[in-house]
Amino acid sequence: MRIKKCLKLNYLSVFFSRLLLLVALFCCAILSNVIKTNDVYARTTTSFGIRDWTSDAGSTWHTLGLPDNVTNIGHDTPHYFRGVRLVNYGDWGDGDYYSGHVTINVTAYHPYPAPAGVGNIVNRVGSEYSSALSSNTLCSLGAYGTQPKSYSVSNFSATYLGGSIDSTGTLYYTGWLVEWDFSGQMSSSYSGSYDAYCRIYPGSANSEWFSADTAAIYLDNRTSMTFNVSESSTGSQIDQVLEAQQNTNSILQQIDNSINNINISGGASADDIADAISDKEQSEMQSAQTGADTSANSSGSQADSQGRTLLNGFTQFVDGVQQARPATCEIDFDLSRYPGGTNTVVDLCSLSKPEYYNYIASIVVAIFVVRLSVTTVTKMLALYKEYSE
Amino acid sequence: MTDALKITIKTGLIAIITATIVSIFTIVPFPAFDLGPLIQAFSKGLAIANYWIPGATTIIPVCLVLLTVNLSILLAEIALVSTRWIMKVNE
Repeated sequence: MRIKKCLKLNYLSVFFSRLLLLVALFCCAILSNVIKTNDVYARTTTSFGIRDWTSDAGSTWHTLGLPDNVTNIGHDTPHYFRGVRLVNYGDWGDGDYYSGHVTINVTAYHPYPAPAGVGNIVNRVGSEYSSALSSNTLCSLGAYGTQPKSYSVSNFSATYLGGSIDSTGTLYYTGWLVEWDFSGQMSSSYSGSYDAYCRIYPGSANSEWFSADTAAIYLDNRTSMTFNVSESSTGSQIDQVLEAQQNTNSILQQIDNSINNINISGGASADDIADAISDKEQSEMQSAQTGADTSANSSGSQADSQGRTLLNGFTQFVDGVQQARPATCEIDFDLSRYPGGTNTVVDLCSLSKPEYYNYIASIVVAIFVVRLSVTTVTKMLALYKEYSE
Repeated sequence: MTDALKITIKTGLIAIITATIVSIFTIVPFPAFDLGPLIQAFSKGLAIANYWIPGATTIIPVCLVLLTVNLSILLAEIALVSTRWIMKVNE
């Protein structure tokens, strides 16, 4: 009987075989691209990075939202902070002309509070380096480092936000707000999903945004980046996907609160402060990602005190999944294990795809969905027939 | 054994099995576990899917709905088979 066949999980075996096929194709596509990929620096999907060129010649990017501690830097060897990049992966529209606006709000923490007005972070933006920073911005499309055919900046401003003085009269953080409008043209048209990035750094040696003997550095939640991409520079044609994503992720949004709510005592060490910030951000991020609303949280906490039922766990998991957003999908492939390989960080969302990939993938996905739909309808009809008998 | 008694016993068995399964899911407490890593893994998977599967944001919900419908059908089939087993008393 058909029912018995179904109960033998015949359908599930077909489903999992299709799933296995998809996974196999996916893995093959990744491997074929990994082999071709040399250096992929771009971070993706609402991930911003802070780049410090002094410590390692610019080869390392630090993930936003986590304390970027600059410790053990002596007064005689000031640490120069030279640049920030913002990279976001998404559907930015089709075309080769682009424009947009970027706002970067950098906050530097003093792990060891300095007397008011003294400060151990030397501000460069807004003074003699303002024009230098303006001429060394770049916003472009594609993997990080992709050069546009043309690029121009307008309405550049760099503002020193001053410092915050706590109840003891000590200066414990300072900030800068830099923003500009941009427009440009790529050498060829982009379509589909790809990276968009903005960066700012002085171009010449011995120039820096600011210097600090000791600091923890963050991008605050005003940091954002919008891109408009079109096939025409005149704007007369219909722009496709003009409204870009506001690249402020959940971690970013918590940073200001984290900074303002942390109680810093005069004797706190850099590690203490970093740990406090990290703990607070992790708890807030976890709270945001588990994503339950008030009632779910209350039921969850009640369940936690007595142990959670499977239904509670499932419900909270579904709530969290519904609120989950695409994260960074960075996976480190240690290519040094392979002949001729090097230590390379490969980002699965930044690998180049062959031109035929989308066609093949679309066909496979369509077959999968159609097959699943047909099977579902067939089973419904069979069930109806069985009930009718 | 009369047919009515057979039906009663079978019905009782099915009811006990059903109640056990339901209570395991809704009443029996399990140690609390952190769902954060699972959800983060899901977010990471979503990011990868967005890049590698054309129209992933549309297709994934459709597939989930279809799978949910399939699961419902499976439950209905189990209910149907259970009912037939209960009513089959002439063997």
